[in-house]
Amino acid sequence: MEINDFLVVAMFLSFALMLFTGFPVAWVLAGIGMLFAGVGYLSDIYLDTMTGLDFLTLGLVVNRIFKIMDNWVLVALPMFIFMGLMLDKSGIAERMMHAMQDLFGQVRGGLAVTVTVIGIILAASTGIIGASVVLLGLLSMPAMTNQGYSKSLAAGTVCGAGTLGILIPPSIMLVIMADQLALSVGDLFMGAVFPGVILGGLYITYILVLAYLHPETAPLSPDRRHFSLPMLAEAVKSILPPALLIIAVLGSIFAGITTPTEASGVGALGATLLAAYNGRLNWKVLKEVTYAAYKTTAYIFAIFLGATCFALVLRELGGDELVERAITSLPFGPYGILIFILLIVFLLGFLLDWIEITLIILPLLSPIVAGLGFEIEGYGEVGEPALVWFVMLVAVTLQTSFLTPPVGFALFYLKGVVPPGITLAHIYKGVAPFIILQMIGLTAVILFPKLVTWLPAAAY
Amino acid sequence: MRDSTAAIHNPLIDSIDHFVLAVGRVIAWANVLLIGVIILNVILRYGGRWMQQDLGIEMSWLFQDLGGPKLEELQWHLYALTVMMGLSYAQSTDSHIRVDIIAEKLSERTVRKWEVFGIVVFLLPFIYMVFSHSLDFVADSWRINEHSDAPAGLPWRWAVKSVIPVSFAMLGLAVLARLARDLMFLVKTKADNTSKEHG
Repeated sequence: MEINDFLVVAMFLSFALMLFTGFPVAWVLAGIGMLFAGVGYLSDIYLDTMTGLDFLTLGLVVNRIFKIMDNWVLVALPMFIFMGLMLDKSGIAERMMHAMQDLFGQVRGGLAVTVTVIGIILAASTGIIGASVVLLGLLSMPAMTNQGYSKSLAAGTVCGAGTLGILIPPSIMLVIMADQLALSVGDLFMGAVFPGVILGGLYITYILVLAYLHPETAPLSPDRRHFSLPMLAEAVKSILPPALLIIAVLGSIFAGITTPTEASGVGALGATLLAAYNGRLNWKVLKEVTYAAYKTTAYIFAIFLGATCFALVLRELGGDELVERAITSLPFGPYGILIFILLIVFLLGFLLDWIEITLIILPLLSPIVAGLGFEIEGYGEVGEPALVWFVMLVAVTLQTSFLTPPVGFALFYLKGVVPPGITLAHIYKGVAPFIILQMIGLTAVILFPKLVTWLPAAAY
Repeated sequence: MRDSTAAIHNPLIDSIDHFVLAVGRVIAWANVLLIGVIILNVILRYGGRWMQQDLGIEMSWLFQDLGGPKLEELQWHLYALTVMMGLSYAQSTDSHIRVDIIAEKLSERTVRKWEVFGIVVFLLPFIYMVFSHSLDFVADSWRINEHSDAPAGLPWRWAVKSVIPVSFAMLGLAVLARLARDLMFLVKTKADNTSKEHG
């Protein structure tokens, strides 16, 4: 190995190490970047390397920061966050929960199915794992435990449904991935529809089958009522507005009526109107949502800034070439390398949130994948079909990673809000089947890339 | 703030934090304004097209002068303002993402010490670097009175560029306040420990 390679490895290791001090991730990234710019500068002088790093080179960070500011795609970020936070506050979730719980009262496992559906509809709007798992956990864990659901089934359902949100459009993760890899946001949103639906379908099937085979895990509610039309009407009334909003936002992107950025603004307004329709909109709520959206956008953006500095220095040290050389020299075929890359992403998901992975790792890996020569059918409509497919694989892998013990993010977020009596062991046991379902979903997407590329191609 | 440094009071530090938060609470509304601008842009585009094509009213002046490039650029100007200025707000509310799996098991004093280390070694050099380079960046733009690349776009490109030094100065303020709090906490608990040992 050359000195450069040592520096690159040292840079990654110091980052991983310093992360655990609990200092903000964004600033660790920025600081390690600064530190290794200094190391590169000194090694140019004393170790005869040629990194060209010095204080002046770091000035490029400012240009890059401005590139992030001067960016139409990312304008959608604060808007989708605003929309998600507003939907959370609008009381839609509680209303859907009650109405659907009533409707599915006669079906074994109906409550868990309700939670999954709500998770999919609501998560579609936040895309922040912490937020959707916490919201879903607070909303549904008491109801499920009161009804006597097995603790692990309840916990597994919440984790699975809560993390699906990073995948299901309009997910902010996909917006950022599109920006990083210069792909179309619309293509990614549409590409995510079938994988999302398949995963959701697998979850629901699993819950229903389990409840049928082991009725004791999912008992029926004692005060269930027979099906009646008003019940159905209330359920439709509760689901229709948020579903229409999501469909309107996605539909106007897919149909090319608006850009994703404009759709995000329309969605933010729509969510506000929905809150008003439900009588939840007042000055206090608007203020809370505005401040929270401001703060959330800012801490995501901070990681952008830190990652910019880190990535710049990493590239100057020769990190890009090292990663490419290391991965392409593996003795596997294209699919072997792909699975190896997904494995790395999976493991990194234990340590990092999707934001850091998307900003630092994905730009390193995507040229490699693009160079593997996968023949993915884009039907002449999807730009870079292989990358669109790859992004979906990464998204599903990351979601699986967040679910996986011992350190998946979702598990800890859920542990923070579950009623006492539910231990981490219950949660671990509960997510195990969902991880298997994820693997099935992932395999399907790997084997049938059309699941991703067909819809965006067909829509144009 | 979630941590016990909030219990540390000092008129200067408190007023810095109040200032950062107050500025943040004003700028946060730019997001609401952004919603309005986006909606207006969509309405002007489709409304203008509809009036022109279906009603035969010549409305192109409306969306060429008011809508179009200007409104679209205003969108990212507002976005740039909120995300950059939000940095200091997120800092003062202690909301930046941390990996605290290990940190939450450490003693409060150890965590504070790491915080001081991180601020001095990682964060302050970064803020200084971005701040000093961004001044040149803005000055260059000011010198040539830089205009948007699009002819119909917004003038005064230096204005949005100067968001970088301003937001980083604010972030620096918020970070120094945090550093002072951490140091005061360390000094105070040290004194408590010693007095306990002697008493």
